[in-house]
Amino acid sequence: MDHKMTDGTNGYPGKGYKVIGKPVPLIDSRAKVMGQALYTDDIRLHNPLIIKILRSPCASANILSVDSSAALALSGVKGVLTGADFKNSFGVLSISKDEPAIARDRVRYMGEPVAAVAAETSEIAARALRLIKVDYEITDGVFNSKEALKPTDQPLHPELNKKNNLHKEILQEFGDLDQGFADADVVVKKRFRFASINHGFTEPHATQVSIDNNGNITVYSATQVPHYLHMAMAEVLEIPEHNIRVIKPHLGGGFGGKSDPFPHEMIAAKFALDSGRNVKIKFDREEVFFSHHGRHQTDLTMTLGYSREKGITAIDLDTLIDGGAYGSFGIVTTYYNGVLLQGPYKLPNFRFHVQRLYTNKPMCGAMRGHGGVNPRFASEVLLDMACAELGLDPAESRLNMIHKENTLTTNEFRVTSVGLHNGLTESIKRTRWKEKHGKLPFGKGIGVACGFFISGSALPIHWNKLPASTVRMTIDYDGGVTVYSGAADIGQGSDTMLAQMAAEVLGQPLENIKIISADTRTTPVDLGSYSSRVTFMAGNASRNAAIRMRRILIEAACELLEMIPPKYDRPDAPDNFFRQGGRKPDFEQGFLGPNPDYTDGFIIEDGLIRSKQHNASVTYLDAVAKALEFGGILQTSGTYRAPKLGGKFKGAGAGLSPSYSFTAFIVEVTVDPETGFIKVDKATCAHDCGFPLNPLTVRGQIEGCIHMGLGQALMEEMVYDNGATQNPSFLDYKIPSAFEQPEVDIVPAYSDDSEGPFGAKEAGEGILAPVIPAIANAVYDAVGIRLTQLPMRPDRVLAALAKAKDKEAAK
Amino acid sequence: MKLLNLTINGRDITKAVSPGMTLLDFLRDELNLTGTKNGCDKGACGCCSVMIDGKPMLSCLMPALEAEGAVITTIEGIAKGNNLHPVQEAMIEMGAIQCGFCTPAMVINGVHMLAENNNPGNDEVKECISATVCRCTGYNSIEKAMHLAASKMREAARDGS
Amino acid sequence: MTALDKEFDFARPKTIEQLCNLVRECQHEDRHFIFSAGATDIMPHLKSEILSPDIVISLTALHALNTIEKRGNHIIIGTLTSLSDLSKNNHIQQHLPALGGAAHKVASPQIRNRATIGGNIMVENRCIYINQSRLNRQSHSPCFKADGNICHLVKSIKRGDDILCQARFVSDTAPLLLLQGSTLDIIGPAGPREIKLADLYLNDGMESKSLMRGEIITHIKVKIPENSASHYEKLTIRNALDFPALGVAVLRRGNGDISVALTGLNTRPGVFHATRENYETFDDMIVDICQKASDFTVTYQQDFFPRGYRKNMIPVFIRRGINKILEGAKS
Repeated sequence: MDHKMTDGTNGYPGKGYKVIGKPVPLIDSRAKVMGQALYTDDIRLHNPLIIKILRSPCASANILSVDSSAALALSGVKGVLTGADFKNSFGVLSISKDEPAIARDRVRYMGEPVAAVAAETSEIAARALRLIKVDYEITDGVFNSKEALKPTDQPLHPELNKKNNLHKEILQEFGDLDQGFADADVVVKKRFRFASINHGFTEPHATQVSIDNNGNITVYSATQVPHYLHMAMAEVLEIPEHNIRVIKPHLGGGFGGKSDPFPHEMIAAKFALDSGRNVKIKFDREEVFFSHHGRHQTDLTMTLGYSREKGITAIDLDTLIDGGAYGSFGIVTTYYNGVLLQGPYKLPNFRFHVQRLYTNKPMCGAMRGHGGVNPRFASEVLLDMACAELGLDPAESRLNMIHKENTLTTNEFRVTSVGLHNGLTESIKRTRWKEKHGKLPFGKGIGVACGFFISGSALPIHWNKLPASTVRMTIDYDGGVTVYSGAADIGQGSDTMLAQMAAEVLGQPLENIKIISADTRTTPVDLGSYSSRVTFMAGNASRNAAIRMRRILIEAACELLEMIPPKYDRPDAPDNFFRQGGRKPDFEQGFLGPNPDYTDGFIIEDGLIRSKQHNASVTYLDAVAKALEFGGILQTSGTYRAPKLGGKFKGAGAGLSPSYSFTAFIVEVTVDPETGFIKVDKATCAHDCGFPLNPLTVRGQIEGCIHMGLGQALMEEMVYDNGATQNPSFLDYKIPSAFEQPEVDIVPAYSDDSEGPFGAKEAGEGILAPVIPAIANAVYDAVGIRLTQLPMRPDRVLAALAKAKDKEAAK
Repeated sequence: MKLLNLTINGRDITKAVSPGMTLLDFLRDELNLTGTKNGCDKGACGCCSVMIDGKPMLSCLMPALEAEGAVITTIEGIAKGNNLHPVQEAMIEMGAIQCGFCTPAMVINGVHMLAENNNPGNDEVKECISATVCRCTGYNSIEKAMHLAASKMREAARDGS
Repeated sequence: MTALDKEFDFARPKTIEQLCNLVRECQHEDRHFIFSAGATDIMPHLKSEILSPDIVISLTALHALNTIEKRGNHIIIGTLTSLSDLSKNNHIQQHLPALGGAAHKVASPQIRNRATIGGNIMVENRCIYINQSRLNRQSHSPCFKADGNICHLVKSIKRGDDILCQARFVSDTAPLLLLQGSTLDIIGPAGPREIKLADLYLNDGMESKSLMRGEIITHIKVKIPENSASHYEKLTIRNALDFPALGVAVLRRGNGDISVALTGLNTRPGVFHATRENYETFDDMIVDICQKASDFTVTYQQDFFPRGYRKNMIPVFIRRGINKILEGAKS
């Protein structure tokens, strides 16, 4: 093994940047490695009440009564809350606010909160829970999508006025499907089935709330979306938003699982307001599984047409996704199941029909690769089948179908930069694909798959005209730069990324940049860490704030140097800038233009600001002092908002993003035909994240996605027994260990996005989806079976092998 | 409540604890040593690993009273002042830290492994971290960090001799 | 919830005599006591309130039981020896390497530093319906092991049947110890006794061990095998942490006889023997012992792997074990 550090740039051209593009450890690594980083449960508020939640043992029941008198009578108990204490329901999407903080009248899943206790100690709170008497009337539950489609008089959500448990149905068709299949040389069709999986972040949910004498609360919570929590909390608690301050401390992983506002957050805030005391709640691991919000259990049938000449000619997709008891991000998930198939290949004719169902199980929501992962498995496996039937090389065939730069997809996604072609070409070379594919001994196989993902959703969840991200930047008299951003560092390293932006533009060492983030009182609004939006959006905002700050400093330097300051024009879009439908994307005022230039004839480095032309310089600190003379503070803001994008049809907004990432995976496996075990030996990844701002963290995201994809592929699944979660522990929910993780080779897939900050795009999610079909395709190469059900457990491998053998014998 | 005597990060401590209290809760709630994390409380995530009499063990699976007379090192006791242990340095350098929740336990595990053998093989490294769940890194960078720390320690040992 | 919210007492006797006195006291006062050694299995049971004792009696101060000695042609293992110490012990590595290997396959390095060999052979039988949080258990009607009236695995079982509970036996170390014909030193308020390890295990997931209340195992006596070799193979989906979905120990004697012990499948371990001279060829013997072992009942319980798969893997794992032994003999 090579333990030496390379320059860490993975072969990307350096562009002469000082901080950007260099491997930078996360700026909070030192605190984390010393155990000093404070996560929500590590914060010590003065004398907090401890909250515990009573959860329903029934998956489906009417609540006839809740008697908490005995609990309230227990010494040390300071309050009990029930469903009656919360009038307003909530949900992350304004179009499906269907979840109560505590169940009212009925429970819809096992583990749903039915009451909560605040007490002086954890022991008293636990004892009090036992004293609460809940009288349930068990009702018939609905436990899978097919049942949920059946007519019923008693749907989970009668407020929708539907005759079954359908939550959302989307049918979209683009192009001419019949023509597409007619154009195909081969049409392949299969049914696929996917288990629900959990994020498995290591830090369980936790919230603490402090309260001051005027009833203002400060909510410390393990959340990916402080802003959405802020809004939801104000609505549920019916207090003004400015009375609430939400702070995200260090966060132990999210992966989408902390991107909803949660009942326990509402419960904690309510207890604080009611009691006037600080409060604290932390989940057990079981409670994390009961709350779930993971990837939807999915049943889908896909038909794919493929032509030697044209590539994929058509895809027809019919999908049921099991949403569990509440909406969460489900409507977005429903769309993403379809629209994310628009890349990475040209897809001229396309139909998808997705139905999200309510069932009596913990709700599903957003999880890394949101909505796109399961259909991607189907399409990449079918593509592999089509190539096999036609005797084509599946890797090279893929090369020919990849979107060209600056094109529109069939459903009018604007695709700008694409680095996949180079990345896949190089991966084919590096893995010696042609010597291996179809040529390895029985049991050894190699497979390929590609992926595509958004770099942030172009449209906000709550429609308003505010920028998607705003960054405030200050420089104090000491020269220290502070970046204030609402973006939530959830371990992915967004704080470091924001600091890199400022350091590069302002010519400062990284240590000179301090980050204050994810605090709704002190930082401007950022919509949060989901949909892989932070690098693109908050990154641009930070970069823009820094450019404005730079201009102020240069002006001050010019004043000291008695020079005329440079004139800044709003730059034109670069030549290769893509014009959608003949029109230039419409950028709002305040945006500095796509990747605004800051080469202003000055260099800031080593504490000096120097004019290149006059070879004259002033110190950075003198320029700061000069700039401070006028207003006493030095402050700028930078914003990002996506340009106006998309078609004019209903649902055109789903999946719109200012840019898209692309991924190719080649995976090598060993399949043991006796035991059915699949061992992934090596994964080669080419991920086009535009220009990689920090190769060290990009690598981390790639390796992390492989781990998570491997888990879904081979072992992870939520097991339910009539709605009861059967494996709510890290012992029974199988997360792969270091032994299962393959060796990883990272191949450059360079592109330079014209709108991304320093050319960057997302690197956190899109990587995951192709991992799984690449494994399945490698298994086919190894032993000749097509696995259509996840996880690809050894028993399923053996069953498929036996079936293949029978088929062979029947011939 | 029973009296518990033990040494934690070089400090002798005597405190009354209830029999139901785990060592993990004792560290976090009684001593405010919050670097040791509670990820599952049932021994399956590995995040609560601390060094007890020189060996990493799971503090969530141990009644505090079982630690009577023990010498314990938590993550807070690994660095010497501002001087990080080679494992800590290597974890930073290799980008083996993302969310950081498993990091303290990974460090404890690695420090012990390298104290026993500063030239571990790949399988030994994998085993050392195999039952500590890291959901962010995919383990690759942590493994690299352990190897890097090992080579740093071998170098230091050579220079020292 | 997982905090140890119920109050209980805790004692840590330093000698066997203190221990026996304490047990007598508890019995006299009708206090519900449990023993704990490494506590790595007891703690999750306590946290999930599967066990709710009045007092936990820790055995960890009985330092005399933390030893491994060679006495004549026996290895005497003190039951408080940690699994990691056991794996690393010279006597074990020299005379019982497969046992060390099996101990090394238990759980995780951090758990093996704490967990004891005594605890592992006494490990509580497990079931997906009982080894759950209190809330999860409440979501089903209580099973026999939870003082209820149903077994969720085999719904036809009625109170009064011989076996009420199908919870699985999951010790990784017991199979090899069984094949070595180990005996146990036991001490309790009624005095010392010695039993065969095979007699420790009962055919019921609820009362799966034959120790009487208040008894503890102090030593495991293993005869040093002469001219034989053994191997333990474990089925888990990942190479860490998990209890065995199937564990197969194989022992081959110098005379060619083969013995097999199974774990992870049933309420108790299964042990099978084949005598070489009863078969024409070595292969005939293997086929036969695989057949016998495969007939061993696998309870209707999914431990990630479905029942049928685990059953099918029995002969595969036996053959693998035998091959490992034969390879070892060659090298």
